[in-house]
Amino acid sequence: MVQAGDKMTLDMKTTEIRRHKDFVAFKKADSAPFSFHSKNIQVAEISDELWSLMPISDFSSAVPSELSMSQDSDITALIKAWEQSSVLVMPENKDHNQFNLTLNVTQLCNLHCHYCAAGGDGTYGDPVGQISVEKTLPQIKIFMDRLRSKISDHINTKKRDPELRGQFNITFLGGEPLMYPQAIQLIGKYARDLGTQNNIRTEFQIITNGTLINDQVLDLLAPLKPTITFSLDGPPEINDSRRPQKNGKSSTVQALQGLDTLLARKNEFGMILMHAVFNRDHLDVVQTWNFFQKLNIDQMEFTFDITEKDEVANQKFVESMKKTAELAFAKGRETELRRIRFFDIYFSQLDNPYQKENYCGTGKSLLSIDSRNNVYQCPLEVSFKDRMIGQGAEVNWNRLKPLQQPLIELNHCQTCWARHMCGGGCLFNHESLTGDKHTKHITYCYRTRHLLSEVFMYYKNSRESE
Amino acid sequence: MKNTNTAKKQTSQSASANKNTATHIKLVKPRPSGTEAGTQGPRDCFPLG
Repeated sequence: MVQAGDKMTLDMKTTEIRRHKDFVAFKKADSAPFSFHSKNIQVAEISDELWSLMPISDFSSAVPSELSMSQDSDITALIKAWEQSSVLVMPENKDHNQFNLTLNVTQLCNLHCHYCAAGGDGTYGDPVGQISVEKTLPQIKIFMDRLRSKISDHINTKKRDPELRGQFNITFLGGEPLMYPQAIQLIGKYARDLGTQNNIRTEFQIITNGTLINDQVLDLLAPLKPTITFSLDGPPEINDSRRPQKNGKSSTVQALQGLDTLLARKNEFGMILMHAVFNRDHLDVVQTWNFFQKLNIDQMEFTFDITEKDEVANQKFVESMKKTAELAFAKGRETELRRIRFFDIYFSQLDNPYQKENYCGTGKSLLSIDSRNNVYQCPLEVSFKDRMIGQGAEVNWNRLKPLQQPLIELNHCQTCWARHMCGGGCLFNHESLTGDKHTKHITYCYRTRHLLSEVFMYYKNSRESE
Repeated sequence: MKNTNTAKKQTSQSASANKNTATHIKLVKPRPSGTEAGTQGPRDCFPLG
């Protein structure tokens, strides 16, 4: 459910929305209407005549409007028939052949970011210099054995492809994980070797502020060919005010030097991404995009602060994202637009349609280990010791039982047209804003629905219609 | 004879409905990349690093 009584009052109505049950349509000024079928995961162009007959809706609402029985014409019959049509759409992959682990290499950081979600200073309230590699390796083995066992069960009991291969992903976090790159090297190599023995593919990602990257560090990391995500909010005048060093000085110069060093060895690594955070103190996505798009990076991601619920800030972020998408599309159509990760993810889902049911793998295919080898269901919960579900090799799997249902059901999203794209949203984000992990804040749903409508429009503009 | 007429009428209605659909709803053609159906995989979480 959405927090009771809440409704966005600031919708600037740059996009109109209409809806008949699971058939939702959108229209921007001076452009043709387009639509999305939320069960079939299909985008379509629609006629102005059809648009004119659809019931008016709004972006704050998950309550489905619908044509009344008395509205009966060829076109309304067509709308009803189209809404009821059903095509074969893949469900979300339930083979559980994938497992994701996040690992806090250290709970210390050399920066002091103003919006830090790791306890405000990178420590989660518990400064730990280095994770114990000796304690971590047995954890990796247990989680990988568990994954291998699940895959075997699926192959044997559900007659899955005997070649079904597992996927084990590790994301190295902090603090600043590159304060201790040796741990990444040792843990990553162990996981890769173990995966090879078990027909499980391993992939690695490192989230870093980039300031500690040098050739010695890259020599340690390159054998893992990890994806490297830089946390950076934009050009120096923006980034330095939001992500300064502990002494208040600039961090951007070092981060960009780190990027240059990495780019010089780009072929030794996976994707290189930039990830910027926005809140009421910084809402100019266009400015950040302008800075990022000149860098030789693969993708960029723009995230709204999980603790920010100011309606005006939310609205401005949405509008700035829309403007950014417009500029990116004008610059290089689909290719440039899909450098923005949000658009790339959803274009991929529309090209390979499936009904998303879970925003992320929390409770199902995701675990997080802190620097004391405690286990959590989500990396953002590490600050909350009562959320711990295990220590070392001991995990209380019963603690995950309440999350075994799809998140779109647990979060009461069944009537929202965006449910199979959104997957119910981030539980930690919901809890931060409403106090309940299954109660969404209206700004979250409003933002998601608006940005999805942009995805549909650019998707339509990038593909042929028939 | 009656049955044939009914069938013809239904075919005609069906063709008309299809034409009507094509006039008012033009489906965007996906470009499948062969990627397997989505999983409960990692999501780009709020950055912690």
